Amino acid sequence: MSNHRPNFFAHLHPPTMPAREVRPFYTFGLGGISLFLFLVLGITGVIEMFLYVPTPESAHDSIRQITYLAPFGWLLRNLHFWAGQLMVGTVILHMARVVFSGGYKSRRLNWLIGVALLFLTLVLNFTGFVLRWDQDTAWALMVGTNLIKSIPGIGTVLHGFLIGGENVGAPALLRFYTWHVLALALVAAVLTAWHLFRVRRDGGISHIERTPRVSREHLVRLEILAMLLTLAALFGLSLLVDAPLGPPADPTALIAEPKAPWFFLWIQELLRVASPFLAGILVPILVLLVLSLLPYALDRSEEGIAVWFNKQGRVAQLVFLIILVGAIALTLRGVMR
Amino acid sequence: MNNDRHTPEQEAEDKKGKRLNRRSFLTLLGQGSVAAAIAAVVAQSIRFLSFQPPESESSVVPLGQPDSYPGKSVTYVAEARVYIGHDGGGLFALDAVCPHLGCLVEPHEDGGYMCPCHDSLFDEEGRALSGPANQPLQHLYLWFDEGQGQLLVDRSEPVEPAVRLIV
Repeated sequence: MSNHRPNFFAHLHPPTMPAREVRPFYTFGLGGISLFLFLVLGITGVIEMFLYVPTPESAHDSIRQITYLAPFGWLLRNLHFWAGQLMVGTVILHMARVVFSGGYKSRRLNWLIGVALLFLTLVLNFTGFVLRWDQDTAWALMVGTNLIKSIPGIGTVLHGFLIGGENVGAPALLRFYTWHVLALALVAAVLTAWHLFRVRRDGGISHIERTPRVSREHLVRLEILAMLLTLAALFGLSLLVDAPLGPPADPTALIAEPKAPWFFLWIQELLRVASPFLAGILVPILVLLVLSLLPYALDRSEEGIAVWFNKQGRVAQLVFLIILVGAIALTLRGVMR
Repeated sequence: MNNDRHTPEQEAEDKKGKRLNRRSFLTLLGQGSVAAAIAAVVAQSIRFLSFQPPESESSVVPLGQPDSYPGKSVTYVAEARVYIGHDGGGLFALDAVCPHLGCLVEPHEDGGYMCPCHDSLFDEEGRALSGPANQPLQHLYLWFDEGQGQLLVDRSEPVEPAVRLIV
């Protein structure tokens, strides 16, 4: 190594790293896998943009062209779809790992960036879901944007800002497209870079003091392995299960069971029992707020870094667990309907 | 320049930025202009993004002949997103758009209507019975246009639930 000119990628990792924390069963590679999925989404997404037409008349047709006519278009679309679905999972699991192993301690700023990235992952997923412009997505968009209207004071203005008119139509699709492919994606890319930079700035993967160290090549080998396994999972899912595409959106047709995308089913369940403003706006904001404040209000200790289920962070772990289990329970209730 | 600074104390205050001298005044002016320019660009961008093209779609939708809605029936008219009902009193138009979050309600097996999105239940008259919706389904203005020889409904004009059109 020393005879080589240092390579740019050497910036990503310190020369040596704590042996215990590099082991796959400490981080499970979840942050790295999320990053890899984000890159896959970026690449497949840009290729899809060459054929996708963001207008109500042509959106559905252009997706059918991508799926059924363009060579390997089905694979491209399935990879984009599955990378997006998996990323929601890996990002949440990554967050859970950080909470339960005290990884947020002494690095609160990066925790906040992480919460912002979770939010962006969900919003990017939702805006992408809308671009499908079939029956399901049209209703989810209608409900989602009408929720915004329930915000006192600024609701109507914000609603107009989001959909570019009084009713969902061509301007709404174009706006969601622009948010999805550029505006939000760009913010997410910048925040991801910052998130990674902060990990290095904060001293690498959070670890117990003075432990044996291994060289960066060791971690790089593991990362390549994780990448290949993720790629195998992505191709496997893409070959077995096609990304859904319903009949074209028709704002006048009655449909039997409009369902929110799975990661928002918990909100749909809440909307059945509580007012739109409470269930659709306040509760999600509250969840994000509690998550953001976790290292500020629930566990300010600097002990227990990199210790699984450390006792200083019990309250934070419990609160996180309650939110997670609550969201999963509501989601399952929605799935089983 | 040096004449401005009289005592070491004042110079120290200058350095701390407590006293406004020519340099700190110009710095403040510069920072203020940059902040004002950014604020103006952001505000105008928000205004740009809030622009809404004029709605071209008319709220008046033709419904065809009155005899296509026989007595004791309810018919869904997709183009108008309304249920046209005919009871003892005459014809009425009930908005199919759920007042909760905008899904289209469907006829319920026990009579009335149900929203498939969040399970709000309404009776035949559109009154909210259960579920998250706390507003009734709107009755819309319905009339027979002699010139066109057909029924019309105006989606932007709600009427009292008791209003019936007798043809």
